[in-house]
Amino acid sequence: MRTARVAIEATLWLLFTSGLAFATDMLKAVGLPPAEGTIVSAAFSPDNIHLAIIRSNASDRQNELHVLDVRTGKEVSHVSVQEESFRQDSQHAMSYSSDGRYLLLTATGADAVLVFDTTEFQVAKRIVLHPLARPLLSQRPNNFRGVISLATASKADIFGVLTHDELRGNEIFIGSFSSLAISKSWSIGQGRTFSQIGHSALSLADDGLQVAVSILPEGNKVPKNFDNLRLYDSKTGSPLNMIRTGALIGRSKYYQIRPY
Amino acid sequence: MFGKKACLEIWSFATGKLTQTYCDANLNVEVTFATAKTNSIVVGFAAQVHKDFEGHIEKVNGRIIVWNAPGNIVSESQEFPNLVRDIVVSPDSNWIFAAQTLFSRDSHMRHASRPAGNEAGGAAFRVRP
Repeated sequence: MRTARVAIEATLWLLFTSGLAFATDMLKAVGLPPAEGTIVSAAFSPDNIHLAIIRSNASDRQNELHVLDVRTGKEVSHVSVQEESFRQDSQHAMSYSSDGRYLLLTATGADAVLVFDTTEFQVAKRIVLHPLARPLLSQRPNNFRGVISLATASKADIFGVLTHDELRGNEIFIGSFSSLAISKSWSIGQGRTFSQIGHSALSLADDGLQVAVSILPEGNKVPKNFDNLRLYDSKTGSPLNMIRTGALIGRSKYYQIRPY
Repeated sequence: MFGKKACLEIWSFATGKLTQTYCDANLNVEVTFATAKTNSIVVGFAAQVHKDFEGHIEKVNGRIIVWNAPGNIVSESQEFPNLVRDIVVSPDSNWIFAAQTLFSRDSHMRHASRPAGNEAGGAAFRVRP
């Protein structure tokens, strides 16, 4: 019996590795409710039922947040996003809290994040990241300042935001949904935001205790002393580990590998 | 895109080393990717970059590819004529949002139309343990 099973497995392996039985699923497109505008951001709820999207409508210069039920394709609710620091044409970023109660929303280059309460579908808190900074700086075309990346922990009520300032460098902000406030922020030095061949990004461990960041160096090569993958303690901001990958990094995500 | 074929990579903070790559046989896999909450799949955009004689990028097309954790391609989309910049995966890995489109991972199986093998002669994926 065991011999037969081994033989079957060996046959399957040979078929697979020789390509004879190589098979893939085709991704199936599902229709969304027709609406004007371009979707500039999307996020799934933790229960896999809802898809939140931001639609940017050039005709009325308005961005709208829509929540859809993916099982039916129907819209559950929508609201206009009223935030002056979010440029309508910029890329937006969204992420649900681990319990699905809150939806964190921001836009590239903005200096604020909006926390939507998904039960009442209204803004629970507007969190300004640099309340004392002069807003003029971000208006200059060569002085980009603002959000680059956003993430939430999948098993904790913690969120993180990565910002860039041409003069002051990059900063990490850690906050919690329970306090609806930033609890810790620290600078991680210079680095670019994104380019055609790379992207600076932040992601959190499932428990939110660690935050990983990928940073683009100033040039098109990674300098010898430049660690472009970094791991920090979310509570203290202390560096835990650094890696120089040798090549520029696009998007990145931190996750714990499980045995398979 | 820049000579050497690009792949999705897993780096270990514990060892400081590259532990795994997710590649396509012919195309660069870059620009964007996403992982499900269960870490059961990795999704990326396999891109074919067309340049003019001066090296400027004229057009980028490709398809969305889904790998399982060991690095096998398990799902893919139809060809997209443009670069797909952002991909979002549902926590249970059954839904993918990309290119203004919501995708479900259909269970219907089909035989691959393209050959498998190693890179030179065509591995559909490459795993570096």
